[in-house]
Amino acid sequence: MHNVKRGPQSQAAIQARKERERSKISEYLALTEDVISRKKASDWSQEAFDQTQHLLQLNPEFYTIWNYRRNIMLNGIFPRSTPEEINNLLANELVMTTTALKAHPKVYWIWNHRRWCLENVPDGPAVDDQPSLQWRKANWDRELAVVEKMLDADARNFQAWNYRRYVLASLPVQRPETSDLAYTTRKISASFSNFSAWHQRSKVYSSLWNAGQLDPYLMPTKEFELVHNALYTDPDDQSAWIYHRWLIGSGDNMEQLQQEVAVIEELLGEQPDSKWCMDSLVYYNRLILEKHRPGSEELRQRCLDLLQELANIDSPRKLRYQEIGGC
Amino acid sequence: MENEFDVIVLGTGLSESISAAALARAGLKVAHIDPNAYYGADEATLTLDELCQWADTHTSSNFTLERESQSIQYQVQYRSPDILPHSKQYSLSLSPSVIPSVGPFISSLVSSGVARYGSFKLLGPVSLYHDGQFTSVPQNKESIFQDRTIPLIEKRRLMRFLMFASGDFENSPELQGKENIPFDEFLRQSFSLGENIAQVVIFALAYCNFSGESTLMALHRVRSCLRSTGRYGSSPFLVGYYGGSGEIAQGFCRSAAVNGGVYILGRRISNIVINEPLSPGDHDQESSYRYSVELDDFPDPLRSSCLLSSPSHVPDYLRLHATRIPTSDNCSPSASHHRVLAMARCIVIVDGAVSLPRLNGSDDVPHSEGESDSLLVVFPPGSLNHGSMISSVHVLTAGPGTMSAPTGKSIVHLSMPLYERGGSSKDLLDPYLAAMLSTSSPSAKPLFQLFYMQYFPSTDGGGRAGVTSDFCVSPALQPDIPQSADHAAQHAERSFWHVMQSVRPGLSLEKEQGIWTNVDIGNIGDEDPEW
Repeated sequence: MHNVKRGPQSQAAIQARKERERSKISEYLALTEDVISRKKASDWSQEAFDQTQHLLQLNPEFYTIWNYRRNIMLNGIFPRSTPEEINNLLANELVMTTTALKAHPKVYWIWNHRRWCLENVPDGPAVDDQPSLQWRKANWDRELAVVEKMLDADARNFQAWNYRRYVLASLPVQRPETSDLAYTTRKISASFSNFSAWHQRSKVYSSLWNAGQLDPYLMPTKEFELVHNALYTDPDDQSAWIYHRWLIGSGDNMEQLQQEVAVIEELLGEQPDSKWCMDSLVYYNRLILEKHRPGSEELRQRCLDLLQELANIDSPRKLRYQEIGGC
Repeated sequence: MENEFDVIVLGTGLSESISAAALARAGLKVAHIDPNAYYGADEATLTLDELCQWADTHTSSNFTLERESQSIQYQVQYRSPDILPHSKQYSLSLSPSVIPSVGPFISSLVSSGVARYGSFKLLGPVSLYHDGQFTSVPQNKESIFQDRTIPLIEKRRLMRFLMFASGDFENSPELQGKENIPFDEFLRQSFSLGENIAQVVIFALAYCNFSGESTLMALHRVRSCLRSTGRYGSSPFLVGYYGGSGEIAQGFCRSAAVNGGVYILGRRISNIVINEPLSPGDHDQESSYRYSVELDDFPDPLRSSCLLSSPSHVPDYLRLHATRIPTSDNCSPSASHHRVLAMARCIVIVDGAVSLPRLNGSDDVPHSEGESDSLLVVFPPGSLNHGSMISSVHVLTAGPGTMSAPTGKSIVHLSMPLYERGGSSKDLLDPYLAAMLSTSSPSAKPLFQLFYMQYFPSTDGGGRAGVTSDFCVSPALQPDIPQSADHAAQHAERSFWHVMQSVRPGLSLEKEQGIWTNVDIGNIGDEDPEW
């Protein structure tokens, strides 16, 4: 650990430590051997199940054992259990993995195991003699709460954002996308330097657009307003610039392009050293040149001036600017 | 002998209490005296009935302003006749203040362990009154981003200013030659800030009292405010439970007592005698204790080799003998020509809660930190019809959230700094009180009102300055809602070193260790011997 001095250890102390570690190592190796041999023997017993738990607590990244555990459940435990018992067992698995996640929040195999458990929750309990979706709903809702808690702790954990999309898609009763929009707004307001939050926003909008639920005029206007606030507050933050590029898209809307170029020029006037402003202006002006005003010498010269300035202030990328200028 | 001490501290104000706790912890024998029956002196927190008793002893009818006095004087100008029920459940501070999350005061609270005696919570959002409305004050990147009332260009300029102000600006080119120009001019010239945003910076980030205060001092205040944001939450300030200031002063006294300090409250100091060594006929000739403090109804005088006193407790006949401990340049009120000579104050208890409509936060964003009933509102000069054109008025509310009032009631403290003495605090503050109460819906009703004037010494008093002495007078503490806690801690630290030099001149102490390390050997047990 940083700043913690290591005291000079006597030979005896080093020896003692090695002894302790040696016994831990041999314990671990013995456990591993036991579990693997059971697996090879297709042992689906409760005892095998408990052994996998011990091993996974010591090493949650041992994915073979996670697989084995799932096989035990499928082949050994599920066939002799009622739906309710299965539900309880899976709920238990979720509790156990939540604890494991707190210590190891980014181990893929733990997340995988959770997915499998959630997907295998049986229909039930019976309501009016018909199996309902209540168990599933309860587990998925809780899952959404868990992942959102992780995002509260670290709003830029992109694995968690990805997982959240998976959970939203798997909910037995789908949530309206507008509520998701509100969630991204909250996360962006808390810290707009959050690429994942902007990204999620773009995905929500894409799906709303495809479903024909977006006002083609109002939505871009409001979104540009939002991203302008981010750009003006911190022109160095790249997540907002990337979202801006996504909003512009293919650049078919000339009016929009010109408006945005004007806004960015104004920002550049306020903050003349902003690399991102210059870079974006070059990009958008090139779009205009390509799609709407191919012969414009004025725009071409503006691009070249900006590229020259960029080569000066961002000399590590000098060659890139020179190359763009060349075409 | 029981009545002999290393140092006697006069007055249990916040600064003196911190000093007493540090001195006791450093192993000195400390006696701490206050003629009042309560702790805290000018920073005391009183229950409602105690406040009414206090008010009765300071009413206009028995008041004459002593122009040369070094004490803070009070003149109560109006008091509601009736005392409310549950009067003991109100904790009313005579000098309400907030605690910056980063600063010498909170460091003292933590290092001394006194933080454990009390509870603290975050101050709610700071609001500024402008154009008839209360607006939230943007303190950081996120709140600037969310505030839709600030035009885009202003956001950029404000962010640039905040980045500048939170860094090391002392040698920056923008500041050279402009350290003493009025702050609003600086903001306009160097950062092109518009008038509205400049007002926010001057009065709700630098918390200036008057327009035209000088740039360098204001920048220091902005920086300490910005550096405090984010430590415990988005607000830069904490508030103490049970009325804050007096409760905390009492906490430091308790810490001193735990380390052997002796406390005597409620006895008037009848006489202080300086025993010159070798004076004939004095049967205490062998005693090296120079000072003898006699108290009313107290059998024997207390003796000590050193005295530390607040400016208010130095008897006139000893004024020239005492040594004023200087303040540092940053917080010296006499350094600027905007010396506050008086403060109009009022304490109002209202029925219900004082809530302010949040006007410029985004509607999509829930108020994630919960509604706080501790609010700070600033009325810049000229912002209110019938209000002051030169003074900035501060309003601090308190309620059941900090156990300062029973459920369903709130306390509103108003203060207006003044260049001149005289005037009626009720006339000056009524328009502000009305503006505060009319925004809550339903309108909060005032149940009890106390209006008074607080007068500060116009000079720093006589006496020698800067010489090592055994009779030290701590620097005067100017009330200032965001700053006085840190000033008190700074004054206390200086007082501590002066006293230590006088009482233990041979001891070499590392000043970097701060005033809370144990000088006496014996308390190193908490360190782990094995790394």
